[in-house]
Amino acid sequence: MLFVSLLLMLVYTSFAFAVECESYASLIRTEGKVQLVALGSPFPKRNLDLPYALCSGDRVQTVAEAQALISHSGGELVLAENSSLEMLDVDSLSLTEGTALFRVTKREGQRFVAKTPLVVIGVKGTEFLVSSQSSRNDVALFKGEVEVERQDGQEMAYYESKPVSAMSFSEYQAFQQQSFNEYKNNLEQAFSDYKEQQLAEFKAYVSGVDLQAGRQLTLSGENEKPEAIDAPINKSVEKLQQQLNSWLE
Amino acid sequence: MAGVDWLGFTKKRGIYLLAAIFLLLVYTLALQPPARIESFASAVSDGYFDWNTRKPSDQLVFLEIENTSVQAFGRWPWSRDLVAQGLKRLEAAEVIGLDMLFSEPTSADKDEQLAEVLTTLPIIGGVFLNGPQAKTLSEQAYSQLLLSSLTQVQSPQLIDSELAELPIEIINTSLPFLAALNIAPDADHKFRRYPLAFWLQDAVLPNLGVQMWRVGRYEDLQLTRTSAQLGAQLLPIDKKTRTRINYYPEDAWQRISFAELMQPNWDSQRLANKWVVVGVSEAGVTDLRATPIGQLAGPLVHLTFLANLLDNTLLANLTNLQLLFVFLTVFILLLAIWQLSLPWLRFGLSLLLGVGIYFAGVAGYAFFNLWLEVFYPLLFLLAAAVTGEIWLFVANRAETAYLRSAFSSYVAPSLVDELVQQGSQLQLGGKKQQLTVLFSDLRGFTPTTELLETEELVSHLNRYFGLMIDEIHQHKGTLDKLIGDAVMALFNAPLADDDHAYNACLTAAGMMQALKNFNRHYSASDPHFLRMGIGINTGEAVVGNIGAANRFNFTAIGDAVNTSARLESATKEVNLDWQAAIKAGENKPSSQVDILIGEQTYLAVKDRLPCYPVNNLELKGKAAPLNAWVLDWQKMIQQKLLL
Repeated sequence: MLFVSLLLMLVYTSFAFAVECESYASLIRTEGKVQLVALGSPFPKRNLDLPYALCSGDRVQTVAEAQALISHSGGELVLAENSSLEMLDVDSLSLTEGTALFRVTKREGQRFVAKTPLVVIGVKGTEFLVSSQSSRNDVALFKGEVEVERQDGQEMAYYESKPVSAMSFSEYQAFQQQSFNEYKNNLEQAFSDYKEQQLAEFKAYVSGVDLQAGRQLTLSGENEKPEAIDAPINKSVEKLQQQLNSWLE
Repeated sequence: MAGVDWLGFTKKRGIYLLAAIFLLLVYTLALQPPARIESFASAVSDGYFDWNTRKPSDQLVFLEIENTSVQAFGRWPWSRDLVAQGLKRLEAAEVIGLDMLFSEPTSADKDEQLAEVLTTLPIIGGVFLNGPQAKTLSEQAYSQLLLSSLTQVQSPQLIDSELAELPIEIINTSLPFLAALNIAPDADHKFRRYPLAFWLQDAVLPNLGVQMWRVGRYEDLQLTRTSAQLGAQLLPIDKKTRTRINYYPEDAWQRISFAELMQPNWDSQRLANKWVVVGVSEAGVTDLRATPIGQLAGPLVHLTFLANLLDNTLLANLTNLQLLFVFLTVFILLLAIWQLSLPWLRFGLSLLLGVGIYFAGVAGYAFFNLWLEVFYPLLFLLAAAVTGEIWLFVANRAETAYLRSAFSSYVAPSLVDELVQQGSQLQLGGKKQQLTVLFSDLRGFTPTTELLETEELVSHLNRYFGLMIDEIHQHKGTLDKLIGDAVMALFNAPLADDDHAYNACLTAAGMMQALKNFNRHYSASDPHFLRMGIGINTGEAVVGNIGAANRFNFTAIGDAVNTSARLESATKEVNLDWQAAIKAGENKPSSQVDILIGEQTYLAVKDRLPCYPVNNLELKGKAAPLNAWVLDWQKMIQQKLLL
């Protein structure tokens, strides 16, 4: 009997907007293999018709070489490959795995929240990229303002990368070397390695960071001690942003 | 020597340390076993399954292509229209899992017939993770795989398969779901653990059992790096996201043969709401898997996993902490066993402990679904017990050698044997106790020394001492020391002797008799002729090894010892008085006084030996006069009291 109802569900939900939920977001465009898993279902939907209205608890997943554009109440976002996004409610979404570029339009008095299993990002109108890996989380801010906190509310050791003007000559040399290496590094680089390569200086223990545009905040993974490095946006991140951004235009 | 040492810690320190090292080594091995040792260890515990008498849920059915079906329809693989007809009869089932693969095309119309039936059923098709490279999968096949894959995974640690063999396209697209059909065996080729899912490119493809649950219960499996949750059930998994399966007796399964299914009077409602796995069990097709309970048809392994899920009996390995607790318990019990002095008792109890460990494992399995690899604690027990026995053997030999060297010159060899055997009775630590002290001395010996050549004197004395010591040994005495020409012997220490006073008296008489024989060759005026007096006294004294560092002796100290020496020196005077009295015509019971015994000795022997009182004897160094008794050794010889 269950199977019959399952089949019925499959049939019903293939009509994109024939869903009985209040939808705040929709899946607009996909490339490669993008899967949609409805709340409570163990299986992805078949015959996905775009645009598709997303409900709370629905998940969008991409595999390698896949990408998805989602519009939501706060704006739009592009989900990069090997990523998974879960709809939470009208004001928030959760990037459970992978990378996404968010563009959030300014709204009066309303805050939009993007989450990963590790962090909570409060947005006031902005464009930013979030990457959630098991060994580290990155938030790169291109425009506007965001506030980054850990989900568990723990204080983190906050390090800030030095501006070039404040560096000694030997530090500058090391920095040059490091800038060159940046091209080779991607987001999968472990936090500890990344930290070593940043000439970062400990500032304070903070529970949240207000990130400035043009900066990237990198947080240590779940099982390490809470640390965060505030540095200029990584070149590889910038490149990724450019790639994803083309879908936002 | 003082202080409490109830575990014999100083003596056994080495072996405790060794056992602790073994514990750490085997525990580490248990946590990180090499594959071969791991499978060997599992084989030791495989016997647990004999204790499983439960029946799997009757919701599960094995639809088997077995002997009679093969006889009825010919050799497998069969024509696909026949398979289609059979599968069609399963329509009432809630979920169907196909433990078979249709990877090669046959005639187009027959493939189509099968495909048509598949689309109407809640059926899961199989994928073998071997054969062609997964990279070469078609777009369509990959999409199909993704639709069957797990959707809630966060970097799980899975077996990554680069190979995949899927059903042919027409069948693949007709199957609502796919699942893996693989089970990875242990190093000894036995199937003990069930992988929940596999990486296949970017897809996480669940195994057949998991997929049947997902379809049947409409619940997903959530995987993270270290956990697996199926619906509300948390599954115990290992580092490769595999779970231990809990086998049922082979005959406990509900089986329906394909031949029975094809009977004209088949009632399809028999399978209403059942979960059916379709597979081959005919021996010729060799889908037989080696399992801890013997050869089992592959489909039954998938069904066993499902049955475990349904009755919640998947097996969890002991946590590291629980395992450590097991090891420490064995260690403590072994320490207790080592306190016993009898080797056969130690052996028996160690054996019992081993059996106990095994049955603790069985109990953990049967009552708590816990899997204890009993091999590791048993290995520890064996290593520690064998080493312990060797250690104790060597230590005992050393102790025996010590006892022999320390006592053989003082105590009769037979007594030394007894001492060694009853090592525990021997208390060298020092204590106050009742004992009898015998003291003998040569009378007027100093002039003799002047008359004899030095060498002759020494050999003469040595012969004399030899005879005296023999007498002491004969009557369970211990030679305490030779002081010049004096002999001091102890009775009842260090070896217990209930009749020590009597034995001391026998010794004294024996010594007098031996001296009489010794003197036989010499005239009374010959300097070789020796005269001896003996004092015996019973009382309390402190006995123990007394001395310093490398030079200590077992001896006794106390008033009882002093008194016996005084009694000995009194024999000469008493004898003179006695002789004078006899000359004066007085009647004395014996002609001579050679042995004097103290009051307590007298009380112990008075009914058995001839003793005559000497009242108010003044002794040197004693404030009050004492009563003493003359022991008549000549009368004892007449009474044949000496052997």
